[in-house]
Amino acid sequence: MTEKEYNDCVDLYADRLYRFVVKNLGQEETARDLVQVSFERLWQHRKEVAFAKAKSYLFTIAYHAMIDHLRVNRFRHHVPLHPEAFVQQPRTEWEVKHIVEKALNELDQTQKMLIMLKDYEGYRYEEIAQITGLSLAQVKVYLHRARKSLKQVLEKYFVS
Amino acid sequence: MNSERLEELMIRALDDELSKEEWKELQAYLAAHPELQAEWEKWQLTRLPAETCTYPDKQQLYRHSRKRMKYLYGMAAAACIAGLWILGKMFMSAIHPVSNWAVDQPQVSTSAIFIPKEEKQKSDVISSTTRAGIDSFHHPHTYHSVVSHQPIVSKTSAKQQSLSIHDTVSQETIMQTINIAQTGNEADVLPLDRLAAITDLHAKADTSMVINNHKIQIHINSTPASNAADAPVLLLSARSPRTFNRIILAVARTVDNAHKIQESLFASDHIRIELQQENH
Repeated sequence: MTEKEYNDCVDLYADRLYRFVVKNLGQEETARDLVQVSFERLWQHRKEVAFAKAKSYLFTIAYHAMIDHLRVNRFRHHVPLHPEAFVQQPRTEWEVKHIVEKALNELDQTQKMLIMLKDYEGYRYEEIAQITGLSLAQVKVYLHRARKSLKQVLEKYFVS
Repeated sequence: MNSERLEELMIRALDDELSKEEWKELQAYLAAHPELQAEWEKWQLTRLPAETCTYPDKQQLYRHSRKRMKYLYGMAAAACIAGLWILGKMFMSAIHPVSNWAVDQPQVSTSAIFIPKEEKQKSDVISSTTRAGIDSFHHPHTYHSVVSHQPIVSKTSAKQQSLSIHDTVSQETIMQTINIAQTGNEADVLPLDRLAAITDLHAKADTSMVINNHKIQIHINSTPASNAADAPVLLLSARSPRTFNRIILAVARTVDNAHKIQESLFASDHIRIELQQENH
């Protein structure tokens, strides 16, 4: 990868990588640090990483950096979701996003990361398996469980 | 289709992982069972809504190789050099306005910088004046500049102090000056900063040294004077314009120390240092 291609990667992927990390960790400062670490690693290994593989490389680095970070900070403050806090069905886009985000936080960390890689970045199952180091079957199972869990939580709010 | 198969198809549809055949199968089944539409909509809620985030400091992430940085530094250095060259040109034209002279006149330029002595400690302001004309004392076909160190003459008190000192130049000092002015030592052709260390220099009336076998001519002239114009003179001459320019620049560099030179060398209120370029 050339220097220009690396800088193109910054333009193309910095925001997406930041979204992936900050939505998972909920900590902007840590997310910034991890994004910086990911790009630092990409710069160091730019000669071995092809431009076409740069995005996966960045997400792989960020994913494992997040796992490491969560291992160190495993006693994270967790705010449970209380459906009764909402007296009426959410209407606005902001309310929907807010509830989905809360429901997302109910998932375990791996499910949460996988569903973000799927929905935000549109990765295929095989690509997610490569990024996370999980098997293809594990990816499918985790994503299936993640959708089911989300559906169960969200059903409480979005009553048809 | 059983419920497990339906659930799997719906989830894989959300994941955009269905084949065309599977899509057709799911759509056909939902069309045949409209009561499952609500269930399908609930599943669709599990797709994360689109959201954008902006990384706050991308500039921190960009990288530029040393090659490019070298190029940028090179450009900056070139710009600095060009700027210095222009400033030098402006400076030279200010203190050596040769181009102002009429063609039919003998080419003589004279500039004078007056360094206050007493008030030098109070202020770093250097008042300067430039005058032009033909000085009959010198060869009429010469360029010469005069740097004159005199007592403070402010605009409000124009009366200058007069000189009343008789100085002599020792042979030792002359030899030191000659040594400094050796060919190949042209970068230091004007020894003003070195002269500051010479303590036994006393100007003698009409003392003159000419080094004919070198490019540099040095005259040290001094006359008893009753006014500033006749102050003791350290006259430095150069035959080549390049050397002459170096002398002028050296004067400019050391002019701040001139009052010290004045104190240590002449113990006089007035020093006039003339730089002369002869036309040959």
